[in-house]
Amino acid sequence: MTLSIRRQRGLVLLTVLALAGAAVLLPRTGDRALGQAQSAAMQPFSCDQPGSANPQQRRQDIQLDNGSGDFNAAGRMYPCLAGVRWHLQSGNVATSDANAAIGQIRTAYGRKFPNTVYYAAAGSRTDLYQVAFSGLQFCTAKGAPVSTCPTAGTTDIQLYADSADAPAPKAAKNYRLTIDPDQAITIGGPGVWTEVLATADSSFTVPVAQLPTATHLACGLVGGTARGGFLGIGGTCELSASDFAGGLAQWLGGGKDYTLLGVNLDLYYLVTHRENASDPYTQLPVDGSGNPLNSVQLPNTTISVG
Amino acid sequence: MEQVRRGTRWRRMALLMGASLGALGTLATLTFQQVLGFEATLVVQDGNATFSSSQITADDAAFGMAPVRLGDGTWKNVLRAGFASASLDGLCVSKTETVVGGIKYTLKLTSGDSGAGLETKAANAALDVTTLRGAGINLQGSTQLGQATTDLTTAPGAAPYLANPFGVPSTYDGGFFGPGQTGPQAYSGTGNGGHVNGQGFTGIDATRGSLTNVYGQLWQAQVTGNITLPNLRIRVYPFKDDIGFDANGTASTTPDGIDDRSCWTEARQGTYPR
Repeated sequence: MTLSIRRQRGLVLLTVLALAGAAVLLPRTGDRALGQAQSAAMQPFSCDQPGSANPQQRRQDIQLDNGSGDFNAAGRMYPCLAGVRWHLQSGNVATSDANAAIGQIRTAYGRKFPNTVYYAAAGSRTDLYQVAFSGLQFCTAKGAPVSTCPTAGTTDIQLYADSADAPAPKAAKNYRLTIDPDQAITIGGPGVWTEVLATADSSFTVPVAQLPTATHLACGLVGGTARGGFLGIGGTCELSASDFAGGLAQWLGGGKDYTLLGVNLDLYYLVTHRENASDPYTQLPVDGSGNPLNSVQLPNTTISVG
Repeated sequence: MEQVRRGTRWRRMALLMGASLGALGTLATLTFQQVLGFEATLVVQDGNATFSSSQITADDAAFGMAPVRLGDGTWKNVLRAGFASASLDGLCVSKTETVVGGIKYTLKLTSGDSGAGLETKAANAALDVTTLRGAGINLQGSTQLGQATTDLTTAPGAAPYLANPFGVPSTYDGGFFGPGQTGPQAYSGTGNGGHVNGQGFTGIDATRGSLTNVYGQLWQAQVTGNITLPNLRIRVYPFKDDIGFDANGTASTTPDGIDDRSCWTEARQGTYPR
Protein backbone atom coordinates (compact mmCIF):
# COMPACT_ATOMS: atom_id res chain seq x y z
CA MET A 1 0.00 0.00 0.00
CA THR A 2 1.32 3.43 -0.97
CA LEU A 3 0.16 6.57 0.85
CA SER A 4 0.06 9.95 -0.76
CA ILE A 5 2.68 12.51 0.26
CA ARG A 6 0.01 14.49 2.14
CA ARG A 7 -1.09 11.46 4.13
CA GLN A 8 2.50 10.48 4.89
CA ARG A 9 3.16 14.03 6.23
CA GLY A 10 -0.03 13.83 8.28
CA LEU A 11 0.97 10.48 9.72
CA VAL A 12 4.43 11.77 10.64
CA LEU A 13 2.90 14.86 12.26
CA LEU A 14 0.49 12.75 14.30
CA THR A 15 3.36 10.48 15.39
CA VAL A 16 5.45 13.46 16.50
CA LEU A 17 2.50 14.95 18.40
CA ALA A 18 1.79 11.62 20.09
CA LEU A 19 5.44 11.30 21.10
CA ALA A 20 5.52 14.83 22.46
CA GLY A 21 2.30 14.23 24.38
CA ALA A 22 3.62 11.02 25.87
CA ALA A 23 6.84 12.76 26.92
CA VAL A 24 4.87 15.44 28.74
CA LEU A 25 2.60 12.96 30.47
CA LEU A 26 5.32 10.44 31.37
CA PRO A 27 5.79 10.46 35.18
CA ARG A 28 9.28 11.49 36.23
CA THR A 29 11.15 10.86 39.43
CA GLY A 30 10.49 13.75 41.75
CA ASP A 31 7.00 14.42 40.49
CA ARG A 32 4.61 14.81 43.39
CA ALA A 33 0.89 14.74 43.19
CA LEU A 34 -0.59 17.66 45.04
CA GLY A 35 -3.37 15.52 46.46
CA GLN A 36 -6.59 16.84 47.89
CA ALA A 37 -6.49 20.26 49.44
CA GLN A 38 -7.57 21.22 52.91
CA SER A 39 -11.18 22.33 52.77
CA ALA A 40 -13.63 24.07 55.04
CA ALA A 41 -16.23 21.48 54.03
CA MET A 42 -14.22 18.53 55.35
CA GLN A 43 -12.35 20.28 58.18
CA PRO A 44 -14.76 23.01 59.28
CA PHE A 45 -13.27 23.71 62.70
CA SER A 46 -10.95 26.72 62.81
CA CYS A 47 -7.71 25.32 64.16
CA ASP A 48 -6.41 28.84 64.25
CA GLN A 49 -3.67 31.00 65.68
CA PRO A 50 -4.64 34.61 66.38
CA GLY A 51 -2.58 37.03 64.32
CA SER A 52 -2.11 34.59 61.46
CA ALA A 53 -3.78 35.24 58.16
CA ASN A 54 -4.34 31.51 57.80
CA PRO A 55 -7.50 30.51 59.71
CA GLN A 56 -6.13 26.94 59.88
CA GLN A 57 -2.61 27.87 60.94
CA ARG A 58 -2.31 25.08 63.52
CA ARG A 59 -3.88 22.33 61.42
CA GLN A 60 -1.35 19.65 60.56
CA ASP A 61 -0.67 18.65 56.96
CA ILE A 62 0.24 14.96 56.80
CA GLN A 63 1.22 13.48 53.48
CA LEU A 64 0.41 9.79 53.34
CA ASP A 65 2.13 6.67 52.12
CA ASN A 66 0.85 4.99 48.98
CA GLY A 67 0.99 1.49 50.41
CA SER A 68 4.40 0.78 48.92
CA GLY A 69 6.73 2.93 50.95
CA ASP A 70 6.27 6.16 48.98
CA PHE A 71 5.41 8.82 51.54
CA ASN A 72 4.79 11.35 48.81
CA ALA A 73 1.47 9.85 47.78
CA ALA A 74 -1.47 11.95 46.72
CA GLY A 75 -3.57 11.48 49.84
CA ARG A 76 -3.27 13.91 52.73
CA MET A 77 -4.86 14.34 56.12
CA TYR A 78 -5.33 17.61 57.98
CA PRO A 79 -5.97 16.88 61.65
CA CYS A 80 -6.14 19.48 64.40
CA LEU A 81 -4.15 17.50 66.95
CA ALA A 82 -5.15 17.23 70.60
CA GLY A 83 -1.52 16.85 71.70
CA VAL A 84 -2.44 13.89 73.91
CA ARG A 85 -0.11 10.91 73.72
CA TRP A 86 -1.69 7.51 73.08
CA HIS A 87 0.15 4.50 74.39
CA LEU A 88 -0.08 1.00 72.93
CA GLN A 89 1.77 -1.72 74.75
CA SER A 90 1.80 -5.50 74.62
CA GLY A 91 4.29 -8.26 75.26
CA ASN A 92 7.81 -7.37 76.32
CA VAL A 93 10.08 -5.32 74.09
CA ALA A 94 13.06 -6.39 76.23
CA THR A 95 12.45 -10.10 75.77
CA SER A 96 15.23 -12.39 74.58
CA ASP A 97 12.79 -15.17 73.71
CA ALA A 98 12.30 -15.24 69.95
CA ASN A 99 9.34 -17.60 70.31
CA ALA A 100 7.20 -15.39 72.55
CA ALA A 101 5.07 -13.99 69.73
CA ILE A 102 2.26 -11.55 70.44
CA GLY A 103 1.30 -10.87 66.82
CA GLN A 104 2.47 -9.61 63.50
CA ILE A 105 3.09 -6.26 61.83
CA ARG A 106 2.74 -6.48 58.08
CA THR A 107 4.38 -4.60 55.23
CA ALA A 108 5.84 -1.90 57.39
CA TYR A 109 7.68 1.23 56.25
CA GLY A 110 8.99 4.22 58.17
CA ARG A 111 10.45 7.66 57.79
CA LYS A 112 11.39 10.64 59.92
CA PHE A 113 8.40 12.95 59.62
CA PRO A 114 9.81 15.86 57.63
CA ASN A 115 7.70 18.69 59.05
CA THR A 116 7.08 20.30 62.40
CA VAL A 117 4.04 18.79 64.10
CA TYR A 118 1.77 21.36 65.74
CA TYR A 119 -0.78 20.81 68.46
CA ALA A 120 -4.16 22.53 68.39
CA ALA A 121 -3.27 25.55 70.51
CA ALA A 122 0.32 25.51 71.73
CA GLY A 123 3.40 23.38 71.45
CA SER A 124 5.02 21.61 68.56
CA ARG A 125 7.70 19.04 67.93
CA THR A 126 10.04 18.04 65.17
CA ASP A 127 11.07 14.61 66.45
CA LEU A 128 8.21 12.36 65.37
CA TYR A 129 8.42 9.42 62.99
CA GLN A 130 5.84 8.25 60.49
CA VAL A 131 5.39 4.50 60.43
CA ALA A 132 3.04 2.93 57.91
CA PHE A 133 1.87 -0.66 57.74
CA SER A 134 -0.84 -2.79 56.20
CA GLY A 135 -1.84 -4.46 59.42
CA LEU A 136 -1.04 -4.97 63.07
CA GLN A 137 -2.70 -8.13 64.23
CA PHE A 138 -2.29 -9.60 67.66
CA CYS A 139 -2.36 -13.38 68.21
CA THR A 140 -5.83 -14.85 68.28
CA ALA A 141 -4.80 -18.49 68.70
CA LYS A 142 -1.95 -20.89 68.23
CA GLY A 143 -0.54 -20.29 64.77
CA ALA A 144 -2.69 -17.22 64.07
CA PRO A 145 -1.33 -15.08 62.60
CA VAL A 146 2.17 -16.56 63.15
CA SER A 147 3.31 -20.03 64.12
CA THR A 148 4.72 -19.01 67.51
CA CYS A 149 1.49 -17.46 68.79
CA PRO A 150 0.29 -18.86 72.12
CA THR A 151 -2.84 -21.00 72.27
CA ALA A 152 -4.80 -18.45 74.29
CA GLY A 153 -3.84 -15.59 71.98
CA THR A 154 -2.70 -12.18 73.19
CA THR A 155 -4.84 -10.61 75.87
CA ASP A 156 -2.42 -8.24 77.64
CA ILE A 157 -2.98 -5.31 75.32
CA GLN A 158 -2.90 -1.86 76.86
CA LEU A 159 -4.18 1.12 74.93
CA TYR A 160 -4.78 4.42 76.67
CA ALA A 161 -4.42 8.19 76.47
CA ASP A 162 -3.32 10.29 79.45
CA SER A 163 -4.30 13.94 79.25
CA ALA A 164 -1.69 14.76 81.90
CA ASP A 165 0.99 14.15 79.27
CA ALA A 166 -0.30 16.88 76.98
CA PRO A 167 1.30 20.32 76.99
CA ALA A 168 -0.82 23.18 78.34
CA PRO A 169 -3.43 24.28 77.67
CA LYS A 170 -5.22 21.01 78.31
CA ALA A 171 -8.14 19.64 80.32
CA ALA A 172 -8.24 21.25 83.76
CA LYS A 173 -9.02 17.89 85.28
CA ASN A 174 -6.72 15.14 84.07
CA TYR A 175 -8.22 11.97 82.66
CA ARG A 176 -7.14 8.61 81.34
CA LEU A 177 -9.14 7.22 78.45
CA THR A 178 -8.62 3.47 78.45
CA ILE A 179 -9.47 1.02 75.70
CA ASP A 180 -9.19 -2.37 77.34
CA PRO A 181 -9.72 -5.37 75.06
CA ASP A 182 -10.09 -8.84 76.56
CA GLN A 183 -9.14 -10.39 73.24
CA ALA A 184 -6.69 -9.71 70.44
CA ILE A 185 -7.35 -6.55 68.49
CA THR A 186 -6.56 -5.85 64.86
CA ILE A 187 -5.51 -2.50 63.41
CA GLY A 188 -5.75 -2.42 59.64
CA GLY A 189 -6.16 -5.43 57.42
CA PRO A 190 -7.18 -6.26 53.86
CA GLY A 191 -7.46 -3.13 51.76
CA VAL A 192 -6.58 -0.86 54.68
CA TRP A 193 -3.37 1.06 55.20
CA THR A 194 -2.48 2.44 58.65
CA GLU A 195 -0.08 5.23 59.51
CA VAL A 196 1.02 6.64 62.86
CA LEU A 197 3.07 9.61 64.04
CA ALA A 198 5.14 8.06 66.81
CA THR A 199 7.94 9.11 69.11
CA ALA A 200 11.50 8.15 68.22
CA ASP A 201 11.80 5.76 71.16
CA SER A 202 8.65 3.87 70.32
CA SER A 203 9.86 0.35 69.71
CA PHE A 204 8.94 -3.11 68.66
CA THR A 205 10.87 -6.32 69.04
CA VAL A 206 11.23 -8.96 66.36
CA PRO A 207 13.16 -12.22 65.96
CA VAL A 208 16.73 -11.68 64.74
CA ALA A 209 16.10 -14.51 62.30
CA GLN A 210 13.81 -12.21 60.31
CA LEU A 211 16.50 -9.54 59.77
CA PRO A 212 18.86 -9.52 56.80
CA THR A 213 21.76 -11.94 57.49
CA ALA A 214 19.81 -13.13 60.59
CA THR A 215 22.55 -11.86 62.89
CA HIS A 216 22.93 -9.49 65.83
CA LEU A 217 25.24 -7.50 63.60
CA ALA A 218 22.31 -6.57 61.37
CA CYS A 219 20.34 -5.42 64.40
CA GLY A 220 23.26 -3.36 65.70
CA LEU A 221 24.05 -1.78 62.36
CA VAL A 222 20.73 0.07 62.31
CA GLY A 223 20.90 1.01 65.99
CA GLY A 224 18.71 -1.76 67.37
CA THR A 225 19.30 -3.72 70.56
CA ALA A 226 19.96 -7.46 70.21
CA ARG A 227 19.22 -9.86 73.04
CA GLY A 228 19.56 -13.61 73.54
CA GLY A 229 20.65 -16.02 70.88
CA PHE A 230 24.07 -17.66 70.65
CA LEU A 231 27.27 -16.37 69.06
CA GLY A 232 25.43 -13.45 67.47
CA ILE A 233 22.79 -15.61 65.88
CA GLY A 234 19.16 -15.96 66.93
CA GLY A 235 17.51 -14.10 69.78
CA THR A 236 15.62 -10.87 69.44
CA CYS A 237 16.11 -7.36 68.12
CA GLU A 238 14.39 -4.31 69.57
CA LEU A 239 13.96 -1.64 66.92
CA SER A 240 12.90 1.88 67.69
CA ALA A 241 10.89 3.99 65.26
CA SER A 242 14.05 5.96 64.52
CA ASP A 243 16.00 2.75 63.80
CA PHE A 244 13.28 1.52 61.53
CA ALA A 245 13.07 4.80 59.62
CA GLY A 246 16.81 5.42 59.45
CA GLY A 247 19.03 5.45 56.39
CA LEU A 248 19.36 1.68 56.44
CA ALA A 249 15.64 1.11 56.70
CA GLN A 250 15.26 -0.32 53.22
CA TRP A 251 18.10 -2.72 53.83
CA LEU A 252 16.47 -3.62 57.12
CA GLY A 253 13.50 -4.83 55.19
CA GLY A 254 11.07 -2.04 54.44
CA GLY A 255 7.84 -3.65 53.36
CA LYS A 256 8.46 -6.87 55.25
CA ASP A 257 6.16 -8.72 57.60
CA TYR A 258 7.58 -9.07 61.10
CA THR A 259 6.61 -11.34 63.95
CA LEU A 260 6.01 -9.11 66.96
CA LEU A 261 7.46 -10.15 70.31
CA GLY A 262 6.71 -6.86 72.02
CA VAL A 263 5.41 -3.44 71.11
CA ASN A 264 5.71 -0.19 73.03
CA LEU A 265 4.25 2.56 70.93
CA ASP A 266 3.70 6.22 71.84
CA LEU A 267 1.76 8.00 69.16
CA TYR A 268 0.09 11.34 68.64
CA TYR A 269 -1.91 10.47 65.56
CA LEU A 270 -3.15 7.38 63.78
CA VAL A 271 -5.03 7.25 60.52
CA THR A 272 -6.32 4.36 58.45
CA HIS A 273 -7.18 4.73 54.80
CA ARG A 274 -7.49 2.76 51.63
CA GLU A 275 -4.12 1.99 50.07
CA ASN A 276 -2.97 4.90 47.96
CA ALA A 277 -6.23 6.76 48.45
CA SER A 278 -6.14 10.13 46.71
CA ASP A 279 -8.71 11.57 49.11
CA PRO A 280 -9.21 9.58 52.33
CA TYR A 281 -11.84 12.06 53.50
CA THR A 282 -14.26 10.91 50.83
CA GLN A 283 -13.64 7.18 50.82
CA LEU A 284 -16.54 4.86 51.56
CA PRO A 285 -16.39 2.46 54.51
CA VAL A 286 -16.55 -0.46 52.08
CA ASP A 287 -14.29 -1.60 49.28
CA GLY A 288 -15.36 -1.95 45.66
CA SER A 289 -16.92 -5.34 46.37
CA GLY A 290 -19.04 -4.08 49.21
CA ASN A 291 -16.84 -5.65 51.89
CA PRO A 292 -16.24 -3.44 54.92
CA LEU A 293 -12.86 -1.76 55.19
CA ASN A 294 -12.22 -2.84 58.75
CA SER A 295 -9.88 -0.23 60.18
CA VAL A 296 -9.84 -1.05 63.87
CA GLN A 297 -11.42 -4.15 65.37
CA LEU A 298 -11.83 -4.32 69.12
CA PRO A 299 -13.47 -7.56 70.33
CA ASN A 300 -14.80 -7.80 73.90
CA THR A 301 -13.57 -4.35 74.75
CA THR A 302 -14.33 -1.96 77.57
CA ILE A 303 -13.79 1.76 77.03
CA SER A 304 -13.71 3.78 80.22
CA VAL A 305 -12.85 7.23 81.50
CA GLY A 306 -10.89 7.51 84.72
CA MET B 1 -45.99 -13.92 118.24
CA GLU B 2 -44.64 -10.92 116.32
CA GLN B 3 -47.25 -8.53 115.00
CA VAL B 4 -47.12 -8.30 111.20
CA ARG B 5 -48.26 -5.03 109.64
CA ARG B 6 -50.55 -5.57 106.70
CA GLY B 7 -52.14 -3.28 104.11
CA THR B 8 -50.94 -0.56 101.80
CA ARG B 9 -48.55 2.15 102.97
CA TRP B 10 -50.47 4.92 101.28
CA ARG B 11 -48.05 7.81 101.89
CA ARG B 12 -45.11 5.92 100.44
CA MET B 13 -47.30 4.61 97.66
CA ALA B 14 -48.51 8.13 96.77
CA LEU B 15 -44.97 9.47 96.54
CA LEU B 16 -43.84 6.69 94.31
CA MET B 17 -46.98 6.81 92.20
CA GLY B 18 -46.71 10.59 91.72
CA ALA B 19 -43.09 10.44 90.67
CA SER B 20 -43.73 7.52 88.39
CA LEU B 21 -46.69 9.03 86.63
CA GLY B 22 -44.93 12.35 86.21
CA ALA B 23 -41.92 10.70 84.67
CA LEU B 24 -44.11 8.45 82.58
CA GLY B 25 -46.04 11.42 81.24
CA THR B 26 -42.86 13.25 80.33
CA LEU B 27 -41.42 10.25 78.55
CA ALA B 28 -44.69 9.48 76.78
CA THR B 29 -44.90 13.05 75.51
CA LEU B 30 -41.35 12.85 74.33
CA THR B 31 -42.06 9.56 72.62
CA PHE B 32 -45.08 10.85 70.74
CA GLN B 33 -43.05 13.79 69.53
CA GLN B 34 -40.36 11.43 68.32
CA VAL B 35 -42.76 9.11 66.52
CA LEU B 36 -44.35 12.05 64.78
CA GLY B 37 -40.95 13.15 63.55
CA PHE B 38 -40.43 16.28 65.60
CA GLU B 39 -36.89 17.00 66.60
CA ALA B 40 -36.38 15.19 69.86
CA THR B 41 -34.72 16.58 72.92
CA LEU B 42 -32.73 15.30 75.88
CA VAL B 43 -33.42 11.70 76.75
CA VAL B 44 -31.51 11.43 80.00
CA GLN B 45 -29.40 13.79 82.08
CA ASP B 46 -27.23 13.90 85.15
CA GLY B 47 -25.91 10.38 85.26
CA ASN B 48 -27.26 7.20 86.87
CA ALA B 49 -28.45 5.94 83.49
CA THR B 50 -27.48 2.92 81.47
CA PHE B 51 -28.14 1.70 77.96
CA SER B 52 -27.76 -1.43 75.82
CA SER B 53 -28.37 -2.64 72.29
CA SER B 54 -27.81 -5.83 70.32
CA GLN B 55 -26.31 -3.91 67.43
CA ILE B 56 -25.57 -0.30 66.55
CA THR B 57 -24.37 0.65 63.08
CA ALA B 58 -23.51 4.32 62.97
CA ASP B 59 -22.36 6.46 60.06
CA ASP B 60 -19.93 9.31 60.71
CA ALA B 61 -19.23 7.94 64.14
CA ALA B 62 -16.92 9.73 66.54
CA PHE B 63 -15.77 9.38 70.13
CA GLY B 64 -14.15 12.29 71.90
CA MET B 65 -13.28 13.41 75.39
CA ALA B 66 -15.47 16.29 76.47
CA PRO B 67 -15.94 18.33 79.66
CA VAL B 68 -19.41 18.43 81.18
CA ARG B 69 -20.21 21.19 83.63
CA LEU B 70 -21.87 19.97 86.80
CA GLY B 71 -24.42 21.79 88.92
CA ASP B 72 -21.76 23.07 91.31
CA GLY B 73 -19.82 24.63 88.44
CA THR B 74 -17.05 22.05 88.34
CA TRP B 75 -16.24 19.96 85.30
CA LYS B 76 -16.42 16.25 84.69
CA ASN B 77 -14.67 14.49 81.80
CA VAL B 78 -16.79 12.09 79.79
CA LEU B 79 -16.42 10.24 76.51
CA ARG B 80 -18.88 11.74 74.04
CA ALA B 81 -19.99 9.30 71.33
CA GLY B 82 -21.78 10.88 68.41
CA PHE B 83 -23.02 9.91 65.00
CA ALA B 84 -24.88 11.40 62.08
CA SER B 85 -27.27 8.50 61.73
CA ALA B 86 -27.57 5.15 63.38
CA SER B 87 -29.55 1.97 62.93
CA LEU B 88 -30.05 -0.23 65.95
CA ASP B 89 -31.23 -3.74 66.67
CA GLY B 90 -33.07 -3.01 69.90
CA LEU B 91 -32.53 -0.20 72.36
CA CYS B 92 -32.75 -0.13 76.14
CA VAL B 93 -32.31 2.99 78.30
CA SER B 94 -32.81 2.92 82.05
CA LYS B 95 -32.43 5.56 84.72
CA THR B 96 -32.67 5.34 88.47
CA GLU B 97 -34.17 8.29 90.36
CA THR B 98 -34.51 9.05 94.05
CA VAL B 99 -37.59 10.81 95.41
CA VAL B 100 -38.53 12.27 98.79
CA GLY B 101 -37.78 9.89 101.60
CA GLY B 102 -34.91 8.30 99.76
CA ILE B 103 -37.18 6.02 97.78
CA LYS B 104 -35.54 4.89 94.55
CA TYR B 105 -37.18 3.71 91.40
CA THR B 106 -35.97 2.86 87.92
CA LEU B 107 -37.50 4.00 84.64
CA LYS B 108 -36.83 1.66 81.76
CA LEU B 109 -37.45 2.32 78.08
CA THR B 110 -37.10 -0.52 75.58
CA SER B 111 -37.70 -0.63 71.86
CA GLY B 112 -37.34 -3.30 69.20
CA ASP B 113 -39.17 -5.77 67.00
CA SER B 114 -37.57 -8.89 68.54
CA GLY B 115 -35.95 -9.67 65.18
CA ALA B 116 -32.37 -9.42 64.05
CA GLY B 117 -32.93 -6.42 61.77
CA LEU B 118 -31.85 -2.87 62.47
CA GLU B 119 -35.32 -1.51 63.09
CA THR B 120 -34.60 1.43 65.40
CA LYS B 121 -33.30 4.63 63.81
CA ALA B 122 -31.83 7.81 65.22
CA ALA B 123 -30.19 10.86 63.67
CA ASN B 124 -27.72 13.35 65.10
CA ALA B 125 -27.31 11.62 68.43
CA ALA B 126 -24.73 12.13 71.14
CA LEU B 127 -24.15 9.96 74.20
CA ASP B 128 -21.95 10.96 77.10
CA VAL B 129 -20.62 7.75 78.61
CA THR B 130 -18.24 6.96 81.42
CA THR B 131 -18.04 3.26 80.55
CA LEU B 132 -18.87 1.45 77.34
CA ARG B 133 -18.53 -2.25 76.67
CA GLY B 134 -18.98 -4.08 73.39
CA ALA B 135 -18.59 -7.69 72.30
CA GLY B 136 -17.40 -6.15 69.05
CA ILE B 137 -16.40 -2.54 68.40
CA ASN B 138 -15.50 -2.26 64.75
CA LEU B 139 -14.44 1.00 63.13
CA GLN B 140 -14.64 1.00 59.34
CA GLY B 141 -13.42 3.16 56.49
CA SER B 142 -11.03 5.94 57.31
CA THR B 143 -10.40 6.15 61.04
CA GLN B 144 -8.41 8.85 62.82
CA LEU B 145 -7.17 8.83 66.40
CA GLY B 146 -5.59 11.79 68.16
CA GLN B 147 -7.57 14.71 66.80
CA ALA B 148 -8.90 17.30 69.22
CA THR B 149 -12.56 16.61 69.98
CA THR B 150 -13.39 20.01 68.49
CA ASP B 151 -12.14 18.66 65.15
CA LEU B 152 -14.40 15.59 65.01
CA THR B 153 -17.17 15.61 62.43
CA THR B 154 -20.50 13.81 62.69
CA ALA B 155 -23.18 16.13 61.32
CA PRO B 156 -24.95 16.42 58.98
CA GLY B 157 -23.50 13.14 57.67
CA ALA B 158 -21.88 14.51 54.51
CA ALA B 159 -19.75 17.50 53.63
CA PRO B 160 -19.98 20.35 54.32
CA TYR B 161 -19.77 19.29 57.95
CA LEU B 162 -20.65 21.38 60.96
CA ALA B 163 -17.74 22.66 63.00
CA ASN B 164 -17.31 21.27 66.51
CA PRO B 165 -20.58 19.31 66.66
CA PHE B 166 -19.71 18.03 70.15
CA GLY B 167 -19.68 21.58 71.49
CA VAL B 168 -16.39 21.36 73.35
CA PRO B 169 -15.29 24.88 74.37
CA SER B 170 -12.72 26.12 71.90
CA THR B 171 -11.78 29.35 73.65
CA TYR B 172 -10.56 29.79 77.19
CA ASP B 173 -13.35 32.07 78.35
CA GLY B 174 -15.66 30.60 75.75
CA GLY B 175 -18.64 32.59 76.90
CA PHE B 176 -19.33 29.41 78.78
CA PHE B 177 -20.50 31.05 81.95
CA GLY B 178 -22.58 33.75 80.37
CA PRO B 179 -22.02 37.52 80.61
CA GLY B 180 -20.55 38.56 83.92
CA GLN B 181 -20.36 35.03 85.28
CA THR B 182 -17.28 33.20 86.40
CA GLY B 183 -16.36 29.73 87.50
CA PRO B 184 -13.77 27.00 87.19
CA GLN B 185 -12.44 26.68 83.67
CA ALA B 186 -12.58 23.56 81.55
CA TYR B 187 -8.91 24.12 80.62
CA SER B 188 -5.82 24.10 82.79
CA GLY B 189 -4.83 27.52 81.50
CA THR B 190 -4.91 29.65 78.45
CA GLY B 191 -2.66 29.97 75.43
CA ASN B 192 -2.68 30.87 71.76
CA GLY B 193 -4.46 34.14 72.55
CA GLY B 194 -7.25 32.28 74.32
CA HIS B 195 -7.92 30.03 71.32
CA VAL B 196 -7.35 26.76 73.14
CA ASN B 197 -9.00 24.89 70.25
CA GLY B 198 -9.78 21.70 72.18
CA GLN B 199 -6.16 20.89 72.97
CA GLY B 200 -5.94 18.11 75.54
CA PHE B 201 -9.30 16.58 74.63
CA THR B 202 -8.48 13.66 72.35
CA GLY B 203 -10.85 11.81 70.06
CA ILE B 204 -11.47 9.11 67.47
CA ASP B 205 -13.25 9.76 64.18
CA ALA B 206 -14.47 6.97 61.90
CA THR B 207 -16.44 6.76 58.68
CA ARG B 208 -18.57 4.05 60.24
CA GLY B 209 -18.81 2.39 63.63
CA SER B 210 -20.36 -1.03 64.15
CA LEU B 211 -20.96 -2.10 67.74
CA THR B 212 -22.28 -5.52 68.71
CA ASN B 213 -23.85 -6.42 72.08
CA VAL B 214 -23.00 -3.05 73.50
CA TYR B 215 -23.89 -1.53 76.86
CA GLY B 216 -22.67 1.28 79.02
CA GLN B 217 -23.19 3.84 81.73
CA LEU B 218 -24.67 7.08 80.47
CA TRP B 219 -24.12 10.52 81.85
CA GLN B 220 -26.45 12.17 79.40
CA ALA B 221 -27.80 11.61 75.90
CA GLN B 222 -29.26 13.80 73.25
CA VAL B 223 -30.91 13.19 69.90
CA THR B 224 -31.52 16.30 67.84
CA GLY B 225 -32.72 14.50 64.72
CA ASN B 226 -35.62 12.15 64.22
CA ILE B 227 -35.84 8.95 66.19
CA THR B 228 -38.02 5.93 65.47
CA LEU B 229 -38.73 3.59 68.36
CA PRO B 230 -40.91 0.63 67.32
CA ASN B 231 -42.75 -1.28 70.03
CA LEU B 232 -41.75 1.24 72.64
CA ARG B 233 -42.29 0.09 76.22
CA ILE B 234 -41.84 2.22 79.29
CA ARG B 235 -41.81 0.56 82.67
CA VAL B 236 -41.29 1.75 86.22
CA TYR B 237 -39.68 -0.54 88.77
CA PRO B 238 -39.09 -0.08 92.48
CA PHE B 239 -35.34 -0.19 92.96
CA LYS B 240 -33.92 -3.64 93.48
CA ASP B 241 -30.26 -4.47 93.87
CA ASP B 242 -29.46 -8.06 94.76
CA ILE B 243 -26.89 -8.62 92.02
CA GLY B 244 -23.36 -7.32 91.57
CA PHE B 245 -20.35 -8.30 89.55
CA ASP B 246 -16.75 -9.00 90.46
CA ALA B 247 -13.73 -7.65 88.62
CA ASN B 248 -14.01 -10.42 86.04
CA GLY B 249 -17.64 -9.60 85.31
CA THR B 250 -18.97 -12.69 87.10
CA ALA B 251 -22.34 -12.14 88.78
CA SER B 252 -22.42 -12.27 92.57
CA THR B 253 -24.91 -11.53 95.33
CA THR B 254 -23.02 -8.41 96.40
CA PRO B 255 -25.06 -5.32 95.43
CA ASP B 256 -23.32 -2.90 93.10
CA GLY B 257 -25.70 0.06 93.42
CA ILE B 258 -27.22 -0.51 89.97
CA ASP B 259 -30.78 -1.78 89.60
CA ASP B 260 -31.05 -5.45 88.70
CA ARG B 261 -33.60 -4.60 85.99
CA SER B 262 -31.37 -1.90 84.46
CA CYS B 263 -30.11 -2.27 80.90
CA TRP B 264 -26.58 -2.49 82.35
CA THR B 265 -27.23 -5.42 84.67
CA GLU B 266 -29.30 -7.35 82.15
CA ALA B 267 -26.65 -6.90 79.47
CA ARG B 268 -23.91 -8.07 81.81
CA GLN B 269 -26.00 -11.19 82.30
CA GLY B 270 -26.24 -11.66 78.55
CA THR B 271 -29.70 -10.21 77.81
CA TYR B 272 -29.89 -7.49 75.16
CA PRO B 273 -32.91 -5.77 73.62
CA ARG B 274 -33.69 -6.84 70.08
